[in-house]
Amino acid sequence: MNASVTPGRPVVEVRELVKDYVTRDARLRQHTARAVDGVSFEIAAGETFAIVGESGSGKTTVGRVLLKLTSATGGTVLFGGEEILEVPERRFRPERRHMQMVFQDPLAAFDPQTTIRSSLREFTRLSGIETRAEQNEAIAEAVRSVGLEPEIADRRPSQVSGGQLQRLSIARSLLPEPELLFLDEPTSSLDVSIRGQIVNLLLDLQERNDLAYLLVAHDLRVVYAMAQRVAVMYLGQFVEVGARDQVYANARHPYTRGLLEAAELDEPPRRGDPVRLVGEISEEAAAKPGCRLTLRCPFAVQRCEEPQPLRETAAGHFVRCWRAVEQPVEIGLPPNE
Amino acid sequence: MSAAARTAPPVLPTEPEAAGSGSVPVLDVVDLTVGFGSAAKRRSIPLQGIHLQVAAGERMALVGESGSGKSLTAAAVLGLLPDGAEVIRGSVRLDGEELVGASERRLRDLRGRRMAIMFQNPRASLNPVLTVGGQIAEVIRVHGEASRKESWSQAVDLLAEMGIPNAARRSKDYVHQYSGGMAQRAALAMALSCRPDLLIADEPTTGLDATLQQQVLELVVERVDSRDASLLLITHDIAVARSHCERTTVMYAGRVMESGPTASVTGDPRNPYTDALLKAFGTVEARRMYAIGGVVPTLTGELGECAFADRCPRAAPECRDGVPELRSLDDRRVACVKA
Amino acid sequence: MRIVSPRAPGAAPAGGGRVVAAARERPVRVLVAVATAAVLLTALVWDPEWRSLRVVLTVLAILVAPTVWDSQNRVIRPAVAVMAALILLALIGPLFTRDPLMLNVGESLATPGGDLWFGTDQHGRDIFARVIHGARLDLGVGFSAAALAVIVGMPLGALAVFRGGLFDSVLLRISESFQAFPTLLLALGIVAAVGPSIPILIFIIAIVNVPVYLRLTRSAVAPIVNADFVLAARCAGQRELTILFRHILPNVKQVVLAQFSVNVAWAIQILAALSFVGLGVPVPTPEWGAMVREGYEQLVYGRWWVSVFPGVAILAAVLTLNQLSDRVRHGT
Repeated sequence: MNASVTPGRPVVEVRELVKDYVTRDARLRQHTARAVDGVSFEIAAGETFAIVGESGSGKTTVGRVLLKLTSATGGTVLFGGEEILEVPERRFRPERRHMQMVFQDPLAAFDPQTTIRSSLREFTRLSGIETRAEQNEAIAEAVRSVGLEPEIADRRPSQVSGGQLQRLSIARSLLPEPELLFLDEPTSSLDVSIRGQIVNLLLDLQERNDLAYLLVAHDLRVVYAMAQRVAVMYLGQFVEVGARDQVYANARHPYTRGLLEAAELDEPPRRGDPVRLVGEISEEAAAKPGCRLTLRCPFAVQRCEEPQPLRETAAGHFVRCWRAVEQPVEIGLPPNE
Repeated sequence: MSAAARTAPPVLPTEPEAAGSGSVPVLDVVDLTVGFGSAAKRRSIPLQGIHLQVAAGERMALVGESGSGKSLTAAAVLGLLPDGAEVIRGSVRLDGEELVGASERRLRDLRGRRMAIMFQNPRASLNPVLTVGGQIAEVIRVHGEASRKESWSQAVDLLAEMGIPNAARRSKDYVHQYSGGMAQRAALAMALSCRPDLLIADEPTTGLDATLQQQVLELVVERVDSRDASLLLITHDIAVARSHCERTTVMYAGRVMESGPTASVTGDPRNPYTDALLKAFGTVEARRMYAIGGVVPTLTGELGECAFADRCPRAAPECRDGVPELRSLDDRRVACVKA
Repeated sequence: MRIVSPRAPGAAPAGGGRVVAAARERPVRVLVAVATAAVLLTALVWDPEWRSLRVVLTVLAILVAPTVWDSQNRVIRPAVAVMAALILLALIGPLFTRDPLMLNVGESLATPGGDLWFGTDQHGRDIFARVIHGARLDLGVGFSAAALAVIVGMPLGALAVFRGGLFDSVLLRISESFQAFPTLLLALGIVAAVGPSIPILIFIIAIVNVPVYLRLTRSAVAPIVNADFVLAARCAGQRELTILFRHILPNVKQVVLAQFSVNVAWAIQILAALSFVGLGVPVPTPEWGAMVREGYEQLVYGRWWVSVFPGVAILAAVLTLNQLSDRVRHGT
């Protein structure tokens, strides 16, 4: 992965991140589910790195572990060159200003019992603004920067529309002046006609503030509009990573091809035959040593049961499928570049 | 809406194709207007004169954003309006039979035999404490003459037909033991178990992942077609309408904006709202996405102008002279003075 | 956008806003009323002869009572009204009655009527005066015991979810063992050890109620402890306790408040039961449960009034409090 092209200095570097969830069944036996299984990537300032995948792929967990909202099982996260996973919560709290999050459902992201202003006020304290007047000034400026009138902050979350509330959620996340924003499905709870407004706003804000974005989404249109690099995740693993156009126009992994096919995108034109995936994601497949897609993949053969490493097919383009690398023509792909 | 238009029933342009076939449409919704609150204290009027015809064996998509009233239209058709809502005027006919004002008993009977619904959440239509096969068998038994044993084997066949592997064994499971895709297949089996003339599918795949969405939608279309039933597919995604339905009706703010054959509505939209919706779904561009400014209006009273005028790129003064009537234009109907 | 509305323009949104505000306000108003009443009654229980403050308290009670009226001042809800009346009676009633402790052997077991509305008991004491004074004691003990249980149980329950693991398990096991222990047996043990007194009774009743709040809060907090707005507060660098008190507890208060009035009713029943078996308040303090017991022997001679009037008082208080709980739970 170090070979991938990243402009500028990486804001965050993630190496071999692992996250297990331990549950107990009725007989108190322990079960370990590996939600994230050895994920590595880095994001530069001003860059958007997107993780796409179906629900259950572990994509949101990656972001939450990265922001230390849940603990990691293994791996390292370097933020601005410094390891953060080992830092105890008490010491890390003031550092939270550097990394913020935008939630999928803005209505769930605001405390229903307080006004929007008081939710925003909490975030101004992170950047050391103590007096009320200065806080209100910072809030007004942040609310204006997302295209709303400052008075709207005096309402309750239930009294503004979904699109407006998502703008306010973005304003809130920018108050501490972070370098990294984790965007967890920022448009999927919004109406189609509002979706574009939010995407464009996020793009403008990124340009203005040189922000690094970790975008987690299943809407491939939104990802195409926002990301420079895209990782496709399936059951805890990246199965394909590359520059946006490599992944969209020259998808190599059968899963990526199936996702693109299902999304019915008109643009950009894709190389290779369309792929139909059958069945649905099942966590049992995550326990297998080999490829986890074999039950759904039209190209699965015996050798797919062996462990599959992420292999580079072109500069910065990685695929976790031996057939895509060694037998592209047989699975309906143009030969490797 | 002007006073004259409200007193006299609007003269309806006949749907070109439905009229051509000469038969009565399976579903015929005319000027359906639904409000919340009593006549004296009207809180909102979320449906303002809906026209919708679904012919026998036809697949109709009802497309709209949240707040457009598409799900409320389905609820009105089924006679399942939420508390506090009432039909102010208009009519809903199923195979020519008027449903507005029909008795609850008659509606219940029709809901079981002639029309069925599939919800976004499949678990809403399946009872969690009964086995999946058991409750489908029960529906078959109530509506037909089948014995206990026959109805069970029919239920298993139905589940197998919907693509549930090991149907004989899985029919003894409960719905929580099914994955999301399987549960939606079981819900489809349940909906089709009474052989309805009309299946209303309300966002049946919205909660599912993209690869699964396609599988389930294709199944719905295939199974409805094989029974010569009609489908009313409610969706927010105009791309879904484009790939699965012959005709499309686009709704916005409690009104029908455009209606006609899917190929022409999505290929050559005449209403600026349809056009905007297509652009929002269609064009994929780097570093910019098509955006419609403004917000969906809240319908506290009857509209006095085109509901989309505030957000429309082609808005002109005449758009504010009244609510545009739904008028015939070539092969479709459009509610836009500029079309 | 222009909308042809049958009403004046702008009326609908404004009206809508008001309804929303009122719905949110109402539990707060009830909370204020209940809390104030609890404080006042507790003060009185500690020193029933706090004469100098009586006037002030009466004025306060009159100020508090309207806050439980319907917010649009249209309807006085029956349960709220009855409860307000009971509290008022408990607060100012004793100013207008005879001395509940005054013995008058010549007038023993007088039938209700005339000046003696509820008759007298075997010692010739005015039952009306005793029921009114008993209201002060029973409601006071009930409210203070329930309040104490909330104050301890609610944060503990929330903390149990927050900390999880061993802390949660240990707390749950302790609360289970308290719940498994029969209340009367526990009371018997403690009263036998330290002797009966009102603070001890409040303490006992509170202790058996703490697990109720602990478990209730725990189950109400569990679904929201990982809610997005809690995650957002963590992103803001808030400390655990701040998040707990500012974001989590305010979001479960309605559930807990609904339990509160049921619990007051329950506390009154426990107190009455303890007094009935002789473990409650010391004689001759007027207390409803104790009065029912005293009058119980008279029932066979047809002298019903001695125990029926305090019994009806218990019934009225318990029913009203349960009604109140239902109202809070359904947010009406």
